[in-house]
Amino acid sequence: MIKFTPNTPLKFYYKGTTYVPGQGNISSWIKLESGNYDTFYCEWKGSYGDAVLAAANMGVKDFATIRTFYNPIIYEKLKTLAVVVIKNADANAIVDGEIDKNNMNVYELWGGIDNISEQNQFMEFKVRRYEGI
Amino acid sequence: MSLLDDVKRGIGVFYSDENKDADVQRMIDSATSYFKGAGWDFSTLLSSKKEDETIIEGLEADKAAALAELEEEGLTEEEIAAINENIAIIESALLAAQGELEGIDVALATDAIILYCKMAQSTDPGQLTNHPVLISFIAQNRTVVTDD
Repeated sequence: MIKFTPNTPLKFYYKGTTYVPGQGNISSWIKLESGNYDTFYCEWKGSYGDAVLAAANMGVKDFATIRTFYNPIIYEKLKTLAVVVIKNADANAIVDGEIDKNNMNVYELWGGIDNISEQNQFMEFKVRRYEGI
Repeated sequence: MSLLDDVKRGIGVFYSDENKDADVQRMIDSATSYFKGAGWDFSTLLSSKKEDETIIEGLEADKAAALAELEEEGLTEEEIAAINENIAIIESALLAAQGELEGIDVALATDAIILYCKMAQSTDPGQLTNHPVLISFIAQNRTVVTDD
C-alpha cells in the first residue's frame, strides 16, 4: 500500500469535441466531474535539481509528479483525451472557456498514467507546464 | 452526508460504482461488528446515518404541511386539536431521529471505521493487524461492565 499526503487540490479540464453540421468539429474545454466532485486532492511533488536538468534537455522546464486516488473517470480521460490539470484548483486558469497560458497553475499530462499495480486504488502521472496544444 | 459517503471520502473513493459501493458498505458493516464485539457499539450510527437525512427531511416536510393546514380558515376546534396532536407526534419522531445520534461521538466512530477500511482494503493480510490507534479507540469508548 503506498502512502502519500493528498493536500493539493486539482481541477481537470478535458477537450471535448462536438460535430456541428455545416461547421465541422468544435472543441471546448469541459470540466471533469465525478459524481458531486469536481475538485480532487493529490500529492504534488515539484521538480528540482538533476531531474530538472535532465528534463530541460528534452525541452521541459517545469514538471511535477502527481500521486492521487484512482478514479475511473479521470483515468479514462487522461488516457484518451487532451487534459489540462489546474493546480490548487485555480479559478483564474480558464477564463471564458480559454486557458490562460500565463497562469502558473496550468499543467498538462506528460508521459503516461500509471494505475499503480493495476489495483484501481492509486494513480501516478507526471505533468508539465501547459504551453498550448 | 451519509456514512457511506463519509467513509468513501476517507479512503479516497470519489466516484460512484455499484460494486465498489457494495464493497465499502460490507467493510463498514464488518468494522461496526468488530467494534461492537470489542464493546463499542455504534450500530445505531449506521442505521441512523443511512436514513437520517431522508427521514428528517420527510418529517420536516410533514411538519411544514401540518402547520400550513393550521393556517387554513374555517377549521373546527376538533380539526385544530387533531392537527396539533399530529404536529406533536411528528416533533417527537424528529427528536428521536436526531437523538439517535446522541451519545455517540460521530466523528470518532466514522474515523474508526475509515481506519479499519484502510487496513481491510489492502490485499496484504499483514495490514489487517492490531493497529494501536484502533486499540486506543476501543479502550476509550467501550462500555465497561463492572462487577458489583
